[in-house]
Amino acid sequence: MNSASAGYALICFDGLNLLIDQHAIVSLENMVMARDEDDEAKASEIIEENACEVHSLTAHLAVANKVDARCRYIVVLQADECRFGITADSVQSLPIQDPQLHSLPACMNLSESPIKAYVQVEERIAFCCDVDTLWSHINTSESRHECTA
Amino acid sequence: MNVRHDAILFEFTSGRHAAIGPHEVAELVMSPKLVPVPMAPNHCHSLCIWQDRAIPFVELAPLIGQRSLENIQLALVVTYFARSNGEQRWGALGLSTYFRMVSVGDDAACPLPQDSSAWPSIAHSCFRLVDENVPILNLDALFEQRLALVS
Repeated sequence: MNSASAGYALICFDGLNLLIDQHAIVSLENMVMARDEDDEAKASEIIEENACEVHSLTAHLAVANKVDARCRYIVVLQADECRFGITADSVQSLPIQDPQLHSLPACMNLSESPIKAYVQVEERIAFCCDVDTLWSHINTSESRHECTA
Repeated sequence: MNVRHDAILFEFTSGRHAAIGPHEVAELVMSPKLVPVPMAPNHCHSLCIWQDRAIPFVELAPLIGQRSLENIQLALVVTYFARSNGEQRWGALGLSTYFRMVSVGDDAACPLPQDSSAWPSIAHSCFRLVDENVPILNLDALFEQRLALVS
Protein backbone atom coordinates (compact mmCIF):
# COMPACT_ATOMS: atom_id res chain seq x y z
CA MET A 1 0.00 0.00 0.00
CA ASN A 2 1.25 3.53 -0.73
CA SER A 3 2.64 5.74 1.94
CA ALA A 4 0.25 8.30 3.33
CA SER A 5 0.54 11.57 1.46
CA ALA A 6 -1.83 13.57 3.64
CA GLY A 7 -1.25 14.42 7.25
CA TYR A 8 -2.75 12.14 9.85
CA ALA A 9 -3.84 12.69 13.39
CA LEU A 10 -3.29 9.96 15.95
CA ILE A 11 -6.37 9.72 18.15
CA CYS A 12 -6.32 7.46 21.19
CA PHE A 13 -9.23 6.17 23.27
CA ASP A 14 -9.96 3.01 25.24
CA GLY A 15 -6.50 1.73 24.37
CA LEU A 16 -7.12 2.03 20.62
CA ASN A 17 -4.93 4.13 18.32
CA LEU A 18 -6.81 5.53 15.34
CA LEU A 19 -5.32 7.40 12.42
CA ILE A 20 -7.61 9.95 10.85
CA ASP A 21 -6.90 12.15 7.87
CA GLN A 22 -6.38 15.65 9.24
CA HIS A 23 -8.58 17.03 6.47
CA ALA A 24 -11.53 15.29 8.10
CA ILE A 25 -10.96 17.03 11.46
CA VAL A 26 -13.08 20.11 11.93
CA SER A 27 -12.03 21.05 15.43
CA LEU A 28 -10.66 19.77 18.68
CA GLU A 29 -12.70 20.65 21.75
CA ASN A 30 -12.05 20.27 25.43
CA MET A 31 -14.55 17.96 27.01
CA VAL A 32 -17.45 19.97 28.38
CA MET A 33 -20.01 17.68 29.83
CA ALA A 34 -23.64 18.59 29.88
CA ARG A 35 -25.27 16.48 32.53
CA ASP A 36 -28.78 15.35 32.97
CA GLU A 37 -30.84 15.22 36.12
CA ASP A 38 -29.08 12.11 37.35
CA ASP A 39 -25.74 13.78 36.90
CA GLU A 40 -24.81 11.28 34.20
CA ALA A 41 -23.33 12.17 30.87
CA LYS A 42 -25.74 12.08 27.96
CA ALA A 43 -24.93 10.00 24.93
CA SER A 44 -25.26 12.97 22.63
CA GLU A 45 -23.93 16.35 23.51
CA ILE A 46 -24.07 19.65 21.78
CA ILE A 47 -20.91 21.55 21.10
CA GLU A 48 -21.90 25.19 20.91
CA GLU A 49 -20.10 26.26 17.77
CA ASN A 50 -20.30 22.95 15.92
CA ALA A 51 -23.64 21.48 16.79
CA CYS A 52 -23.30 17.76 16.34
CA GLU A 53 -23.70 14.41 18.00
CA VAL A 54 -20.87 13.23 20.20
CA HIS A 55 -20.19 9.58 20.90
CA SER A 56 -17.72 7.55 22.86
CA LEU A 57 -16.43 4.44 21.14
CA THR A 58 -14.87 1.34 22.62
CA ALA A 59 -11.65 -0.25 21.42
CA HIS A 60 -13.84 -2.46 19.20
CA LEU A 61 -15.56 0.64 17.76
CA ALA A 62 -18.81 -0.20 19.49
CA VAL A 63 -20.81 2.89 20.44
CA ALA A 64 -21.15 3.39 24.17
CA ASN A 65 -24.53 4.49 25.45
CA LYS A 66 -22.89 7.26 27.44
CA VAL A 67 -20.18 9.73 26.69
CA ASP A 68 -17.03 8.77 28.54
CA ALA A 69 -16.52 11.62 30.98
CA ARG A 70 -12.93 10.54 31.59
CA CYS A 71 -11.89 11.55 28.08
CA ARG A 72 -10.22 14.93 27.77
CA TYR A 73 -11.13 15.84 24.21
CA ILE A 74 -13.86 15.77 21.63
CA VAL A 75 -12.66 15.47 18.07
CA VAL A 76 -15.21 16.92 15.65
CA LEU A 77 -15.11 15.09 12.32
CA GLN A 78 -16.58 15.87 8.93
CA ALA A 79 -18.21 12.98 7.12
CA ASP A 80 -19.86 13.31 3.72
CA GLU A 81 -23.27 13.91 5.17
CA CYS A 82 -22.68 15.48 8.53
CA ARG A 83 -20.41 16.39 11.38
CA PHE A 84 -20.03 14.28 14.47
CA GLY A 85 -17.73 14.12 17.45
CA ILE A 86 -15.88 11.31 19.16
CA THR A 87 -14.26 11.48 22.56
CA ALA A 88 -10.54 10.87 22.93
CA ASP A 89 -7.90 10.58 25.62
CA SER A 90 -5.23 12.14 23.45
CA VAL A 91 -4.82 13.65 20.01
CA GLN A 92 -1.54 14.33 18.27
CA SER A 93 -0.01 14.58 14.83
CA LEU A 94 1.41 11.30 13.61
CA PRO A 95 4.96 11.34 14.99
CA ILE A 96 6.53 9.79 11.87
CA GLN A 97 6.95 11.15 8.35
CA ASP A 98 5.84 9.22 5.27
CA PRO A 99 4.17 6.44 7.24
CA GLN A 100 3.87 3.18 5.38
CA LEU A 101 0.25 2.08 5.27
CA HIS A 102 -0.26 -1.67 5.31
CA SER A 103 -3.53 -3.19 4.17
CA LEU A 104 -5.24 -5.32 6.78
CA PRO A 105 -4.75 -9.04 6.07
CA ALA A 106 -7.55 -10.36 3.87
CA CYS A 107 -8.90 -12.66 6.57
CA MET A 108 -9.75 -9.73 8.85
CA ASN A 109 -10.81 -7.17 6.27
CA LEU A 110 -14.56 -6.63 6.42
CA SER A 111 -16.31 -4.47 3.85
CA GLU A 112 -18.43 -2.69 6.46
CA SER A 113 -15.48 -1.84 8.69
CA PRO A 114 -14.00 1.69 8.64
CA ILE A 115 -10.60 0.08 9.30
CA LYS A 116 -8.79 -0.96 6.13
CA ALA A 117 -5.13 -0.40 6.92
CA TYR A 118 -2.66 0.06 9.73
CA VAL A 119 0.61 1.79 10.44
CA GLN A 120 3.31 0.70 12.85
CA VAL A 121 4.13 3.66 15.07
CA GLU A 122 7.15 2.78 17.15
CA GLU A 123 5.90 0.02 19.45
CA ARG A 124 2.28 0.62 18.64
CA ILE A 125 -0.14 -0.24 15.85
CA ALA A 126 -2.43 2.55 14.68
CA PHE A 127 -5.44 1.77 12.52
CA CYS A 128 -6.38 4.01 9.61
CA CYS A 129 -10.01 4.95 9.90
CA ASP A 130 -12.26 6.16 7.10
CA VAL A 131 -14.51 8.85 8.57
CA ASP A 132 -17.45 8.33 6.19
CA THR A 133 -17.56 4.62 6.95
CA LEU A 134 -17.12 5.31 10.65
CA TRP A 135 -20.18 7.56 10.57
CA SER A 136 -22.19 4.89 8.74
CA HIS A 137 -21.06 2.37 11.35
CA ILE A 138 -22.08 4.63 14.24
CA ASN A 139 -25.47 5.14 12.64
CA THR A 140 -26.29 1.47 12.43
CA SER A 141 -28.25 0.34 15.41
CA GLU A 142 -26.31 -2.92 15.44
CA SER A 143 -23.19 -1.08 16.50
CA ARG A 144 -24.79 0.37 19.61
CA HIS A 145 -24.69 -1.64 22.77
CA GLU A 146 -25.22 -1.26 26.45
CA CYS A 147 -21.84 -0.46 27.85
CA THR A 148 -20.01 2.37 29.41
CA ALA A 149 -16.80 3.17 27.58
CA MET B 1 2.47 -48.56 -1.39
CA ASN B 2 1.66 -46.69 1.81
CA VAL B 3 3.90 -43.59 1.75
CA ARG B 4 4.43 -41.86 5.07
CA HIS B 5 4.81 -38.10 5.62
CA ASP B 6 5.79 -35.94 8.57
CA ALA B 7 3.24 -33.46 9.87
CA ILE B 8 3.15 -30.90 12.63
CA LEU B 9 0.24 -31.70 14.93
CA PHE B 10 -1.09 -29.02 17.26
CA GLU B 11 -3.99 -28.69 19.66
CA PHE B 12 -6.03 -25.52 19.05
CA THR B 13 -8.57 -26.09 21.78
CA SER B 14 -9.05 -28.78 24.37
CA GLY B 15 -8.91 -32.17 22.65
CA ARG B 16 -9.04 -30.81 19.10
CA HIS B 17 -6.13 -30.91 16.70
CA ALA B 18 -5.12 -29.72 13.25
CA ALA B 19 -1.93 -30.22 11.27
CA ILE B 20 0.38 -28.40 8.88
CA GLY B 21 3.53 -29.39 6.99
CA PRO B 22 6.92 -29.17 8.77
CA HIS B 23 8.17 -26.74 6.09
CA GLU B 24 5.37 -24.32 7.06
CA VAL B 25 6.61 -23.78 10.63
CA ALA B 26 8.60 -20.61 11.27
CA GLU B 27 8.73 -20.22 15.05
CA LEU B 28 6.88 -21.03 18.25
CA VAL B 29 6.30 -17.81 20.19
CA MET B 30 5.57 -17.80 23.90
CA SER B 31 3.46 -14.96 25.28
CA PRO B 32 2.86 -13.42 21.84
CA LYS B 33 2.26 -9.71 21.62
CA LEU B 34 -1.23 -9.31 20.20
CA VAL B 35 -2.94 -6.10 19.09
CA PRO B 36 -6.73 -6.41 18.77
CA VAL B 37 -8.13 -5.21 15.45
CA PRO B 38 -11.45 -3.35 15.73
CA MET B 39 -14.39 -5.14 14.08
CA ALA B 40 -12.27 -8.06 12.93
CA PRO B 41 -13.92 -11.51 12.86
CA ASN B 42 -13.75 -13.57 16.07
CA HIS B 43 -11.36 -16.13 14.65
CA CYS B 44 -8.78 -13.54 13.55
CA HIS B 45 -9.25 -10.78 16.08
CA SER B 46 -5.66 -9.57 16.41
CA LEU B 47 -2.39 -8.77 14.74
CA CYS B 48 0.64 -10.52 16.22
CA ILE B 49 3.84 -8.51 16.45
CA TRP B 50 6.65 -10.82 15.35
CA GLN B 51 10.14 -9.76 14.29
CA ASP B 52 8.93 -6.17 13.76
CA ARG B 53 6.15 -7.38 11.51
CA ALA B 54 2.45 -7.31 12.21
CA ILE B 55 1.03 -10.64 11.06
CA PRO B 56 -2.53 -11.97 11.30
CA PHE B 57 -3.28 -14.13 14.33
CA VAL B 58 -5.89 -16.85 13.78
CA GLU B 59 -7.70 -19.08 16.25
CA LEU B 60 -9.45 -22.14 14.90
CA ALA B 61 -11.80 -22.71 17.84
CA PRO B 62 -14.32 -19.97 16.85
CA LEU B 63 -14.56 -21.54 13.41
CA ILE B 64 -16.11 -24.66 14.94
CA GLY B 65 -18.32 -22.73 17.31
CA GLN B 66 -16.07 -22.99 20.34
CA ARG B 67 -14.75 -20.23 22.55
CA SER B 68 -11.50 -18.44 21.90
CA LEU B 69 -8.59 -19.33 24.14
CA GLU B 70 -8.96 -17.43 27.40
CA ASN B 71 -5.28 -16.90 27.92
CA ILE B 72 -3.19 -16.98 24.78
CA GLN B 73 0.25 -18.23 25.78
CA LEU B 74 1.45 -19.82 22.57
CA ALA B 75 1.44 -18.75 18.95
CA LEU B 76 2.84 -20.85 16.14
CA VAL B 77 4.21 -18.57 13.43
CA VAL B 78 3.70 -20.20 10.07
CA THR B 79 4.73 -19.30 6.55
CA TYR B 80 3.15 -19.91 3.18
CA PHE B 81 3.19 -18.60 -0.36
CA ALA B 82 0.17 -16.56 -1.38
CA ARG B 83 -1.64 -18.23 -4.25
CA SER B 84 -2.47 -14.84 -5.77
CA ASN B 85 1.10 -13.68 -6.43
CA GLY B 86 3.49 -16.29 -5.06
CA GLU B 87 4.68 -13.92 -2.32
CA GLN B 88 5.93 -15.45 0.92
CA ARG B 89 3.78 -14.47 3.87
CA TRP B 90 3.51 -15.20 7.57
CA GLY B 91 0.69 -15.74 9.98
CA ALA B 92 0.26 -16.97 13.54
CA LEU B 93 -1.95 -19.74 14.91
CA GLY B 94 -3.21 -19.88 18.49
CA LEU B 95 -2.16 -23.09 20.29
CA SER B 96 -3.44 -24.45 23.57
CA THR B 97 -0.31 -26.55 24.11
CA TYR B 98 3.01 -27.38 22.42
CA PHE B 99 2.97 -28.94 18.96
CA ARG B 100 4.56 -32.26 18.06
CA MET B 101 5.72 -34.06 14.95
CA VAL B 102 3.79 -37.11 13.77
CA SER B 103 4.29 -39.53 10.89
CA VAL B 104 1.17 -40.10 8.82
CA GLY B 105 0.60 -42.80 6.22
CA ASP B 106 -1.50 -42.35 3.10
CA ASP B 107 -3.81 -45.03 4.42
CA ALA B 108 -4.82 -42.71 7.29
CA ALA B 109 -6.69 -40.37 4.91
CA CYS B 110 -10.25 -39.74 6.03
CA PRO B 111 -13.15 -37.28 5.55
CA LEU B 112 -13.00 -33.82 7.14
CA PRO B 113 -14.73 -33.33 10.49
CA GLN B 114 -18.42 -32.53 10.18
CA ASP B 115 -18.53 -30.01 13.02
CA SER B 116 -18.00 -26.95 10.84
CA SER B 117 -18.75 -26.01 7.27
CA ALA B 118 -15.52 -23.95 7.38
CA TRP B 119 -13.24 -27.00 7.15
CA PRO B 120 -13.63 -27.59 3.38
CA SER B 121 -12.62 -23.94 2.85
CA ILE B 122 -9.47 -24.05 4.96
CA ALA B 123 -8.20 -27.65 4.81
CA HIS B 124 -6.39 -29.54 2.05
CA SER B 125 -7.28 -32.94 3.41
CA CYS B 126 -7.58 -34.91 6.62
CA PHE B 127 -6.10 -37.93 8.38
CA ARG B 128 -7.23 -40.22 11.14
CA LEU B 129 -5.17 -40.20 14.34
CA VAL B 130 -6.37 -42.45 17.16
CA ASP B 131 -10.06 -41.48 17.33
CA GLU B 132 -9.88 -38.01 15.79
CA ASN B 133 -10.15 -36.73 12.23
CA VAL B 134 -7.32 -34.17 11.93
CA PRO B 135 -7.60 -31.55 9.16
CA ILE B 136 -4.43 -30.53 7.29
CA LEU B 137 -4.68 -26.76 6.94
CA ASN B 138 -4.49 -24.78 3.73
CA LEU B 139 -2.70 -21.71 5.10
CA ASP B 140 -3.24 -19.61 2.00
CA ALA B 141 -6.99 -20.18 2.30
CA LEU B 142 -6.96 -19.58 6.04
CA PHE B 143 -5.11 -16.26 5.95
CA GLU B 144 -5.98 -14.92 2.51
CA GLN B 145 -9.74 -15.12 2.47
CA ARG B 146 -12.65 -13.95 4.55
CA LEU B 147 -14.51 -16.83 6.17
CA ALA B 148 -18.09 -17.02 7.26
CA LEU B 149 -18.27 -18.00 10.91
CA VAL B 150 -20.55 -20.99 10.74
CA SER B 151 -20.37 -23.97 13.01
